[in-house]
Amino acid sequence: MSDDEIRDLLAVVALDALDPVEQEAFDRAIAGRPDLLAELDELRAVVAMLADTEATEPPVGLKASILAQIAVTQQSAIDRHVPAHASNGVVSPRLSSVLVAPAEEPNVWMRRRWPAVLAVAAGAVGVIVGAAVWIGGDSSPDLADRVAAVLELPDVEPLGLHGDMDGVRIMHSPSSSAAVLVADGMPDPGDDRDYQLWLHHDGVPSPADVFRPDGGGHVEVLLEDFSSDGVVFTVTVEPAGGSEQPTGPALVSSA
Amino acid sequence: MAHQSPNGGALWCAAHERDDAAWTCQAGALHVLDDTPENLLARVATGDQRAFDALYDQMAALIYGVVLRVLRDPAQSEEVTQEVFIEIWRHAGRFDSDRASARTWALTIAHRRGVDRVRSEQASRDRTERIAREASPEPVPGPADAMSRQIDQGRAADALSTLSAPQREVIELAYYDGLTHNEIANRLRIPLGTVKTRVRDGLTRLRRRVGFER
Repeated sequence: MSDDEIRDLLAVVALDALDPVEQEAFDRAIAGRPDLLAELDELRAVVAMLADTEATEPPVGLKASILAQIAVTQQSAIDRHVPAHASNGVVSPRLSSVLVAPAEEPNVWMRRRWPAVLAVAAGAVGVIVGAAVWIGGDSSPDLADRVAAVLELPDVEPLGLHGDMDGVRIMHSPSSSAAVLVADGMPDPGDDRDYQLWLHHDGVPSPADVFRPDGGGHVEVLLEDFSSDGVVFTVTVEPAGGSEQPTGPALVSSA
Repeated sequence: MAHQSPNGGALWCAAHERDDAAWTCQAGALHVLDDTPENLLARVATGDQRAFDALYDQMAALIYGVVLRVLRDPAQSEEVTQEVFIEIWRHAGRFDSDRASARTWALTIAHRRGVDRVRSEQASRDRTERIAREASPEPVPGPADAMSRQIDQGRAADALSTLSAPQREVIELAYYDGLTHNEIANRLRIPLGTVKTRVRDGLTRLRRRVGFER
């Protein structure tokens, strides 16, 4: 693709009006051309203005649903923030023609609308580790470190658990209000079911996390910033995406 | 006229920072330092969920609106909007303020994901049927920032009105309806080269109108 051909397509690309095959060829052609990329970026800024005429309040429950999901979604560790001064105003050659990364593998989990009720988790921030299959393939060393850090806290101790699942352990640090659920040999809950972790205070359950073990039945769930005082943990199997209240029997309980 | 953001990058400022009379930013306006989308996004990149919450408030109507315009289906638009925000959360660290404003970055993701969805077979079929049945939904501005949003909408419409009818048509088919340039050429029965020329000339004119000329 010649420079003129690339330039000829910049406006079309800014409008996302290439089909995927053409887009790929364009991306290859423009790679390493900071001058043309800068032109494209300017056109994208113009195009973004077109969104102004369409501003529409989203449905009321959407925000809670999204906030609940980001609370359990790992952030990408790659391409960490490059300080603005590092590039001295010159577009870095590592940049591609798209401000947007290519669409990720279709991921059923990501597309599923999380029930807004998960936001009710009363400050419990859950992060799933080890179940990369449903978080999109990120393996985050940070998160593994955080799990390790919890397991090394001086007052962390295994909770006595009742129930039918032998491979589940919950390590709890009351002083840090942190806990890690570790499970091995956990059966697949089925395509339309998920495991759900609950925190009970004074007998009242609040949903903390929905999770699935990986193919080997292994999963780790990190819970931070919840009220440790008198907390009881249970795990149930729920319809995919989780429930507002436990609908299944507690497979595991720390009561 | 691009506004120089505190960290040196060119920043297309948010609605409330714009001068009323033109598409320029007021350098001395409030909100420049703390809650710009750029600053919020930088905090989001460090895992700050409160900053994400604030960023959602600033961007949700724009993102949902553009996705809804492309998809025309509220349920699918809600799903895609969710995907867009999760993507913003996951990849906030990739945002480069030297290349784009946070607003442009987020809206670029939103539009791309909207057209990705519309070009998937099922969505495309559903949409065709729906368009046949009903008119496109009217945007319903919410209470928050309704005033500045109306001004924005007026300006965007004003900028669009400077285009020739053929330029405006191809740009609207591409941006608002998510058609590829080949689809536009087929729809309008004009050569592909003509589509490219109209799109290019139209965006050039818009850029001049809103002050992006270098």
